Amino acid sequence: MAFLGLFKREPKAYPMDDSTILQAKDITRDRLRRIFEPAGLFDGLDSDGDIKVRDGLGALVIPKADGKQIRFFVGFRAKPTASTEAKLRFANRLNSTRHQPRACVNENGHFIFDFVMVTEGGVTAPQIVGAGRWFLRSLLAITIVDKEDVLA
Amino acid sequence: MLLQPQDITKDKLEAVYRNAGIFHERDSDGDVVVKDTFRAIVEPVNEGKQIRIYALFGTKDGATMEAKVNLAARINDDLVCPRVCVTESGRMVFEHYVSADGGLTSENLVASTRFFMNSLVGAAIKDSHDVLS
Repeated sequence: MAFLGLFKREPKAYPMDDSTILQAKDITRDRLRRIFEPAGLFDGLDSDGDIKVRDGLGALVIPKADGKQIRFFVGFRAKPTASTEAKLRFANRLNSTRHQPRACVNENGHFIFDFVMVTEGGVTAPQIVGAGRWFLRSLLAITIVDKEDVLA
Repeated sequence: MLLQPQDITKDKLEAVYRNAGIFHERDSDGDVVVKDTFRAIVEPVNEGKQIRIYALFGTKDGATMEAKVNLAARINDDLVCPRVCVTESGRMVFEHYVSADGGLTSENLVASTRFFMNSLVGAAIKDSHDVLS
């Protein structure tokens, strides 16, 4: 996991009294950046212009084109020696023993950890920050269930 | 009005669904059960910071653990929702979480619930090897 570059920074206080309701049409990359920056989670943009967030470990935040969903996700490499069966067992163990994140094995044999947040009906900036922080912190615990040592 | 984590109780969840006209009931354990094409239980977790919506699916008698895990993996990889796993007892759990940490609108909970219920239909279609009973 060294490639992930563990870097701990102290989260800043977010104005949790911001009860402005954001609708799906308001959920854009720029808006999400302006939400995560004051929360101390914004970690720059990747080469595609997608938002990177970090709280210990890093992840990407991608709004759906219509803004109806926000997806938090990160990819982790699997050990080359890990069998497909062992990787699937790890993903299932994580999904069945913890609330977060969702784990899957992609077609390249590596891991995707994600969480999707629905924005329809209206969401608040503190709620988005809360979801992001919950997801990011859950990543710190995934090694606990890696009993077969499948994560690179 | 925003619901804060301390407001998220089973009674409050039931009230939200009642006001939204979503068919629901309380089961014998007092859990809130939403009914559509499928049946899902809704419960607060982590002191109301999140809400878990989940459906339990039985599997065919002949379905192997490997087939179940493969179905879960296929759904998790292909669809953004639900989150699927196989329990030690061999049942399949389909779930989705709603974050209430920072405040949650009733409308967002309702939309998230509908999103999850609709996702179950897409997930069931992935059962090409006839694992689910």
